[in-house]
Amino acid sequence: MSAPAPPPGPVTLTLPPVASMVRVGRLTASSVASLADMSVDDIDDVKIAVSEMITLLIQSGSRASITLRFETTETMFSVEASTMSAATDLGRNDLALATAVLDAVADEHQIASTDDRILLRVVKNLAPQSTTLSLA
Amino acid sequence: MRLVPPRAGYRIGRFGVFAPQASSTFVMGNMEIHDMEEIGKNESIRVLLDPNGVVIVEGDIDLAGGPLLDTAIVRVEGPNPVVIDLAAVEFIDSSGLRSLLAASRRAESRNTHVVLRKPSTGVMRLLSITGTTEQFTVQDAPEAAE
Repeated sequence: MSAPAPPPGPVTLTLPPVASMVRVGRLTASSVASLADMSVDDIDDVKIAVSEMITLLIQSGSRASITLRFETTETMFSVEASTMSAATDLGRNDLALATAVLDAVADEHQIASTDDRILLRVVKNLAPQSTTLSLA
Repeated sequence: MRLVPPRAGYRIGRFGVFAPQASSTFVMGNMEIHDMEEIGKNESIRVLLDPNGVVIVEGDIDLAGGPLLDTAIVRVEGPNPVVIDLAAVEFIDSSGLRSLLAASRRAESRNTHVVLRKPSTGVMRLLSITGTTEQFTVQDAPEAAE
């Protein structure tokens, strides 16, 4: 019996860079993650990760929209968060605490910045699907 | 604190049942609690102050909720410990934790401390992840987190 196909995607969400939108991003992340058959604990991890990502981008001082991109494959759930911003200083104290949290809740995370863009990426590995043997 | 049965005409909101034209009345379960002061609320959080000066937080402590929590904590800061009831906190992230850590640092400078009462599993996990549990006095933590 083959593993079920991942849900259709990617899912993209664009948010204004304001504090009230952190919750919107978090709730969307929770919904998309639940489609990937993630456990409750893993969905909680995704919510925390997405909250940290959006918060960091808002605190970067950018006034541009924040784009979230959720993608599910057979082996992982990934979230990319980006904004157009020349700011590369995310704030050392803010970043240290957020990074400590991302270390704990994500299997991988990256923070990259170019001259005009900040990109954060978080990956959560999906547990292998259990297979059920059917008796003929 | 006075407890009386709820009456009809109350509005149900995300953070509980709200009494019409009586912001000092809060309904918890089937009881009304009077003399509760609402410090503020927004889409993330509702922060109340009980008659004993305990800060009661409901909802999510995040970038939107943190400033309201800061306001309430500053209101009760003094020579005694700051007590924050987190039983109804559904979510907290590092920006919310920063509010609690800042309160802890200010309390330390006054030779007192911050008490986190009934923190949820999520709160305890974040404290553990960030190695900040020792910054607080934790009361009535969930069994799994003790």
